[in-house]
Parts: sequence; structure tokens; C-alpha cells
Amino acid sequence: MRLILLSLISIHCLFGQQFQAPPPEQDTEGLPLAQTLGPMIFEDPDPARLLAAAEIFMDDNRPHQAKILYEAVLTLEPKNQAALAGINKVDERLKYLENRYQEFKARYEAGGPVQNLCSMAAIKFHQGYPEEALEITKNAAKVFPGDQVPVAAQMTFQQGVDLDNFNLDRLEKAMELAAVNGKPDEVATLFGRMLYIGLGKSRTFEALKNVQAVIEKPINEKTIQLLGRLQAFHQNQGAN
Amino acid sequence: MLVFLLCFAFQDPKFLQFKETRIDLGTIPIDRKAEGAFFYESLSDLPLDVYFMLSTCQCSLLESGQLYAERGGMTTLPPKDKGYMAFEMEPPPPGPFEHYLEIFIKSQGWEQKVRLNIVGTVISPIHIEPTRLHIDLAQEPLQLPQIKIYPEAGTPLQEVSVEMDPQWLTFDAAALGSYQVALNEAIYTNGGETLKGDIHVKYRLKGKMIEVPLPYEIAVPNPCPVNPPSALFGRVSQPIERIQKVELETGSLTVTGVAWAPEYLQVKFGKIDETRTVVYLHLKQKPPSVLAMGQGFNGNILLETNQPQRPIRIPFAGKIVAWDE
Repeated sequence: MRLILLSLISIHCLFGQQFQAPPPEQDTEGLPLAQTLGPMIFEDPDPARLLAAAEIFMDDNRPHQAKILYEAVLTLEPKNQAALAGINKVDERLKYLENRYQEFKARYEAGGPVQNLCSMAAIKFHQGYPEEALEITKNAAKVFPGDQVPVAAQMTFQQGVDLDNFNLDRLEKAMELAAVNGKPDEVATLFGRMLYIGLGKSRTFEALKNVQAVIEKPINEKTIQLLGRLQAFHQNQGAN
Repeated sequence: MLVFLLCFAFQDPKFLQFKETRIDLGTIPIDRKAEGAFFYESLSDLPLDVYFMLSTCQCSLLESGQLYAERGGMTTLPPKDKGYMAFEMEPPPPGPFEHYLEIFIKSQGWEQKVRLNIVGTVISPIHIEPTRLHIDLAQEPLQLPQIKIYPEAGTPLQEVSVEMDPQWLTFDAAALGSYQVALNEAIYTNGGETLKGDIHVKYRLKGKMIEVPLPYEIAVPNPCPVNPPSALFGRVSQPIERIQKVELETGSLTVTGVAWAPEYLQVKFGKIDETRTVVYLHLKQKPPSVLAMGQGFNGNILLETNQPQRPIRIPFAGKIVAWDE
């Protein structure tokens, strides 16, 4: 196991952060969300689409993003039962994750192995807090010097962050190309995919704002305002 | 191998030997032709054809007093000849110089090339301040310098003029030998560029017109900040790498059109908000200058603005690594 980890680190050091775009038929990350939300960027906000998008985030274990979208539905239809139910579901999920986190923390504080810290980091990472996840693994490497598990976990999280940035970069370029070539529907899809991969980072909205300047079809400001709430999640984390 | 070595053994191209191939003329006055001579000796039993091939100065070459017709001219030296090749040189601009003449010697299929170096320092009876003109038009407040010409004692300043071509600057004579630099508004058509060249300071000395170059460098800013200052495509292999974005902090300036862009580049621009404009540069075709993969391309695009004669220049560059239509 140790040997495999060391090999992985060596490969990582040798090849650095070399990512490659997947072949077009496999380049589908975030496509369901894009197909759900994308068309809406040229139309008024649609509660049904917002609900469907919230479900996608929920199914992907991204309760924070799901909650923001459920709340967006409630601003349009304050009594929307599906949104209210969704929020309850999200809160339960968040409560569960928080409990799990506290469990691992208690085990670690009771002298448990490094895996507890890595599990805490994994919970943070999958909820969209990569900085916190990295901090926990960095700390774990200090507390358990010589142990390769936190080092490998840290590498995995870092690679996850870098891969997301790589994908966001190439999707942004593709979106610019689509805008310049006068393909607004493609712009919408690529925006949706960026929204999914970046979990609503502000750079996604900046990219849309830029291409908006050169596309003929007007973007619906109300929709963008509602979706823009996703940025608040990152602003709170200081990771845009 | 033996044949190869024998070739070298018999190949002694030095059949014209010079006493020295470098002459230091020391200091020479700007108003007089400089002269000197390179002494030679022919080691050959055969006549030698000597061609005056090139020179980096305005020089005439004479062989034992006989003028070569012109650069490219030829003379034939008799076997075992001894003599000198004299030269006359129009003085270059003031300051140290290093020039050379190149001659080519042929005899019965053998060839020899000799470079004759001439060094020295030309002195002028006038001094110009500044010695180089640096102007950054982005500086606020903009202060344009004066050009001052100081003659040495006893040298009268006659028929002095300060000129430049193209006329980006004008020079108003404030007093004899003192010129205030002023801008020609047309200079702003070069926004985003640094203009370089020589201003020509001319004066008459002992009946002869002397021209002294004054180097200039003028940084002409774009009318608004361009971020990044150039569109760098980097290595282009995928279609998504064929697009680059540049943001302009246009403020109250409005981009009204594309004044110039190469045919292979599609340019689209639009206002992001009240103060910013985005410009996309899209390589819609492979640049014609790229004949093979791995070759670079570069150029500028020029955007028109609502301010007359204040276009925005955006340089671009990249390298085509792969191109699938």
C-alpha cells in the first residue's frame, strides 16, 4: 500500500498537473444540470426547472446548492410544496453530515487513527469546501508525520480542485467560442455545465457576463439574479 | 579520410597578406573625410583578382592610389605585388564607430575573403541635449522636453534645423539652438506602440551641411487600459484555444468598430457594463504566415473609438501546433 502511494506521489511529481479534455462523447459532466437550467438563461425563471436543478444537486450530495435553488423557487412561489419539502430534506441531509463530521472528530480526539481526519476532510470536500478539506489533511500530515494516507488524500483533493479549474477554463473558452460564432443555445449549455462543475462560482457568472456582451439573444436578468445566489455560498467560503 | 586531410593541407587561401587588418583612426572631426591605408603583400606567383565586396560605411577604396570603380569593383594585382589599399570615409554620426570593408580575392579557383576594420570616434563641434529623446505620453502631467544645441567656442551655429519623418513631433525654435518639442496629434494613431527612430539635427559647418541623428523613443499609450496588454494565444492545437479575450477599461470611451484586423482573425466586441468592454479575437483561419506546424504568428488589431484619431491597438501572438479544419 505504502509503495503504491509513493508511486502515485512520484507520478504526480513527474507529470505535474497534466489534465486532458475527455473525448467529446464522454465530455458530459454537468450536462443534466445544463439541459435543465441552460434554456432558462434566455427566459423568465421557471420554478419547475429550478426544482429539477435542485434535485440534481441533491442527488449529487450537494445540499448547500440544492437549498439555494429551493429557496429561489420559494421567492417565486412562496408556498411551493416541493420546494418546502426539498428544504426539509436538505436540512436533514446537512444535519446528518454534520453529525458524521462530529463523530469522526470525536473519534480522532479520542486518539483514533488518521483516517478519521481524512473522513472529516472528505465530508468538507464533497460539500464544496475544498479549502477546509485541504487544511484538515495538511494538519493531519503534521499530526501523523510519515503517514502517507493524509498526503495522498491531500493530493486527491488538490487534484480535484485543479481538475475543476481545468474544466472550467476549457468550458469558458468553449463558451466564448460559441458566443463569437453566434450560438446562444450552446452558450446556455456551457454555462449550465460551468455552474455544475464550479458549484456556482462567480467566475461562471463573470464568464456569462462577458459573452453576453457579444451575443444577440438577450440574457434574462431575473434568472441570472436568482441563479447568482449560488455565488453567495462561495463568497462565504472566500473561494471564488 | 586521407583525401579529406590532403584537401586541407593544400588549401592555403592566404595569398594576400595584410600588415594589419584593423586601423584605429582615433578622433576625427565630423566635417572632414577620414583617410587611412591597409598595407598588403601578395604571396602568390600568380596575378590576384581583388573585388571590393561590401562596406558598412560610406567609403571609397583605392589600391596603390588607383580608385576602385565602386563597391563591387575589381582590380588585378600582379604576382608578388606589394602596396597599400587606401580608403576614404565620410564621417559617420558623432560618437565611436566600428566599420569594415570586405574584399574578396580570387586566383585560379582559390578564394580568400578579408575583412578590414576601421574604428574611431567622430567628434562634433556641437553638442545636443538630451543625447536620446525618451517620451512617455502616458505620463501625467505630460512634460515635453527642449532640445538644446551647444556649439563649441568659435563654431558659429548656422542654418540649424531639427526635423523628423514622419512628423510625430514638431520643434519650435524658442531661441537660436533651443527647440521646444511639441506633439502632432496624429501621433495618437499609433496608440499601443513605441515609436523609435532618429530626429535629424542639421547645421552648416564651413560651408558643408552636417547631419547629426538624435535617437528618439516615444511610448504612445492606448486611449484606455487594455487588460491583458496583448492577446497571447500561446500554443494553439485545439479549436477552443483559437479564442482570446481582452478587456478594455473604456470608461467614457466607446469602441465603435474594427479599424483593422487581419482577414484570418474575427474580432467581436461588446460592452460588459458602463466602464468595461470585452474584445474577443478568434482565429477563424490558420494565419497564412504559418506554413508548417509549430510556427508562430503575430500582429495587431486596431479598434476605432468615438475619439477621432485615438484607436486602440491590441497586439496578438501565438504558435500553431495543430490545425484541423
